[in-house]
Amino acid sequence: MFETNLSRFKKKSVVALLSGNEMNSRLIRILTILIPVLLTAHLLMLGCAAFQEYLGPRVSELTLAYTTPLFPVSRSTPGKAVATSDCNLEFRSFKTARWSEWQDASSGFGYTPQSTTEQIEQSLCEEFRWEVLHNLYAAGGKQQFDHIIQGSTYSKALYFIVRLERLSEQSSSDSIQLRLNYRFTPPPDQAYTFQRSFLEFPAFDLP
Amino acid sequence: MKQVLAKIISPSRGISKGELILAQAPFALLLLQVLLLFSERRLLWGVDNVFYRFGHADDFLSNAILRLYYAPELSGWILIVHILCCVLALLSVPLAVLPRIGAWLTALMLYAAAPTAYCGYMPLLLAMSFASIGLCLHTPFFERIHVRYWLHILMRAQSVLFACAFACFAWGTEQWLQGQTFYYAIHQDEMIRPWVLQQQEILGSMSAGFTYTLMVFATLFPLLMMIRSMRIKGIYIGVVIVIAHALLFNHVMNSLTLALLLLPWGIDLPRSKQQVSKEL
Repeated sequence: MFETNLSRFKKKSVVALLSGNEMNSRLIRILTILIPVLLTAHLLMLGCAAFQEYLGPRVSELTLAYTTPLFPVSRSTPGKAVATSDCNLEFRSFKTARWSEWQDASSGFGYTPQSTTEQIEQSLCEEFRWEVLHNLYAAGGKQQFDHIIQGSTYSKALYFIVRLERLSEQSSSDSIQLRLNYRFTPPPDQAYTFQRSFLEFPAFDLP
Repeated sequence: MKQVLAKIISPSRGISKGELILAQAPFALLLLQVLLLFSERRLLWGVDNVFYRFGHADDFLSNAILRLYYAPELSGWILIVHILCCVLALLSVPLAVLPRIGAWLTALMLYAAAPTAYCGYMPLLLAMSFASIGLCLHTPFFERIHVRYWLHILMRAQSVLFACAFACFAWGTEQWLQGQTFYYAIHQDEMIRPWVLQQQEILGSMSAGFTYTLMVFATLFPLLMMIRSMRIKGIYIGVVIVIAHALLFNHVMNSLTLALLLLPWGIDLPRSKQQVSKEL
């Protein structure tokens, strides 16, 4: 008896589902509860991520775990602060027993500032900004690059230069040295003069 | 068989031109985006690509699903399938839903393999194109469950969510509150158009005006769009902001994706649920 009722119920549900009428009213009921809950949770997380410096480390850890996958690229999130310096990746190569001049990573190979290659260079610079902020330290009066060199950004940047060299069919270098060229934007209420600063990484011998 | 085939291939009836544009626009943008990146495909997705060989974050979206299935040696095929699917997705037939699914999935794969090569608003474009997959479905079954209606609502919700997130971040950032964001943005030489380079100082002095306008617009966006009498004015302001963005900044895809946020609000929803129920 119970089984017959159950199969009748299942059959009825399937028919109702296919006809769309019952599904619609159920769907509306589910969505009217679910959507506001999800929206509230989502906005709450974004709000907490925006104001994380005022919240405890536990809350910011949780909100970062939610927002980082939503914004996987290291470039700045819309609505966040813009960098206060313009950064470019530069390189020089050691060929035929002498170092070349310093060149920009993308325009050095003939790419325009509007090209995708320039965009890739800028994304590497964004990653380097983070690395410099967190992994550059001084010991014995000298800057220590070991933590940065062990990171993936440095190897990515090196490989980027090697790939561009290969694509432009230049003869391969024996060594490559990278540097970051910073141009600091003066604050709006100060004199309109720009300061430059260079951060030179140690030379890398290519195998 | 012929009848079935004719039904599948014949253009979707009962769908307004506006809805058709809404369904096709995200895929047209995906196509434009991949064509802009096509010349540098070897650098982005090939076996020797720049991004793929190093450690990646272990978060769910950027690793677990996509990278496990994605193989760089297949990148050429994935690129061809993506371009083909994007072209077919522009057709206005019910069957276009299949290439749209294909275009969306391959776009997700290509994006996950080289996220930095894409425009900053690519996640938004992906979310909008996901919502527009089923906008051409006009068969009785899908009409009964109001698929087009809900997808249109989803596109509107996504645009509101983006504006809310933007406003949340901006109100929590000191640089925005001081009205200096625009000033620093136009001093990023690689982000701006060449003519802006000559006008940096003059434009910089107007930074507070630009920054606060954008902040207030993002904050009021949900209200402007949801109150019907204010919507048209809100869309006009939005269009002016998008044009200004396109004139000042380099990445055309970012401007076009921002314009896409206004599109679901500029086009009327499909007939109301009650109307559809009565007709059926």
